[in-house]
Amino acid sequence: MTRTDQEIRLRNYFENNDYYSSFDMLNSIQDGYDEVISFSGCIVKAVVLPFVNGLTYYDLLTLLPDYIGVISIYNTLTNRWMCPTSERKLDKLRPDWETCYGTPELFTPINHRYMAIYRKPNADGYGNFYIYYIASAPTLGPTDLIQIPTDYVNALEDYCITDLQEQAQEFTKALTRFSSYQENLAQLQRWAKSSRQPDRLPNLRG
Amino acid sequence: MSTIWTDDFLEQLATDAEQDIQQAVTCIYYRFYLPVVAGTSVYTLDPLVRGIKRITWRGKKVDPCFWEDLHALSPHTAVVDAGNRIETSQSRPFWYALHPTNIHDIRFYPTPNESFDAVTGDPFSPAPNEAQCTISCWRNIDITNPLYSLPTYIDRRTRKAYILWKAFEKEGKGQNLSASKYYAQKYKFLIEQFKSINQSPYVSKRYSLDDGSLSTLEARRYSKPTLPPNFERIIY
Repeated sequence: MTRTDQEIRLRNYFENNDYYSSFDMLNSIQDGYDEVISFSGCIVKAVVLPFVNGLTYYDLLTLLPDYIGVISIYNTLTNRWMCPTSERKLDKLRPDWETCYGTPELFTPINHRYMAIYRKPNADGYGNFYIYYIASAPTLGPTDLIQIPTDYVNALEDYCITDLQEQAQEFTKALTRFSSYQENLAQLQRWAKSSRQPDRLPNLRG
Repeated sequence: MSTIWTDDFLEQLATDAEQDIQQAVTCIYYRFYLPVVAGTSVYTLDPLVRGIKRITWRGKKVDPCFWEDLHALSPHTAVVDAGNRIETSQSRPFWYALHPTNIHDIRFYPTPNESFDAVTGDPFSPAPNEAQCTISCWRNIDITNPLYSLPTYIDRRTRKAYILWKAFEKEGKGQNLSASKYYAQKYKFLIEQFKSINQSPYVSKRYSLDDGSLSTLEARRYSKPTLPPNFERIIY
């Protein structure tokens, strides 16, 4: 589905097509797309980043402006995945873990911006790592595909209808539609976290 | 057309929204070097610091402890202010506690025996045995600096929901309680979503709760069967 398709669906929903301008609708679609994608984690990207000499805390939001959260990291020097861990575990490992030089093997997310690695390289031009991360939504063009599975695209539509009714101060209608949005978003989140990895299901179900 | 809400009022609500969001989700991470003077154990932190996450002295962790525990550790020391203090032990600090007389004060024990200028270096790239006292903390939001702002995918919509919740609630012209209720619900939903993103973004928080390993003594116990409630009970 493209942005234009979504706009047509919205126009079909509202009886008076002239009440909402195209500008309002497109803003609403983009706004909803930003929110649904960031809350569900539907878009996953991978990029190559260099290890920086002596750097423990990587400011990923500066390096990757569309960064939301890290999924996994692959060290191309060792050809091994780096393992996610916590600061508490690292503290148990070494009280001065932040300053340790060596081969990067572990990483821990700190907040929505920073990620720390253990250990850190002590040489310029040490090498690269691949980072797989949840990305925020891009700005949609008229024919750009909306990267939400068709089954769950109702979440976006619900958001737009809620938003437009809110602008018209139809708060009772908006509240009803908002509940529907929450339910559909929860389903999309469940799908994004588990159902799209069918090999995990037998393990979870025993 | 008359104005329902003044710009001043809306700006006040925007500031309130900021306060409320950072109270609900501590998310702005900050690291800095603390200037330290040998022989002085109490330091006042910047009021923007909301909570201390970790302190290191020459790269090694300084453990937090309660003020009462600090008394037990050092019964022979007391500090009122810079002029009135009795401090004896001086070495590398092993513990710190929040000072009871000022919420922004921390006290090290033992009293530091070195002075650090906190001018050179990068707290995000600490070097081994670097002569610095580094504080990792959660800090207040500062919208003038992108490093200390909320991420764009959460900021505008959450702030807007809070402002409209409170604005529609305001007494007088423009009051609309059903609208206020709607935006309150929306704001709470957005905050919950942000909390779930912030709890170690997309890498489960369970890693932070406990390592779950059997390596520590307190985590080890012998396995035992779960028996039915009437086990070894004879009913005549």
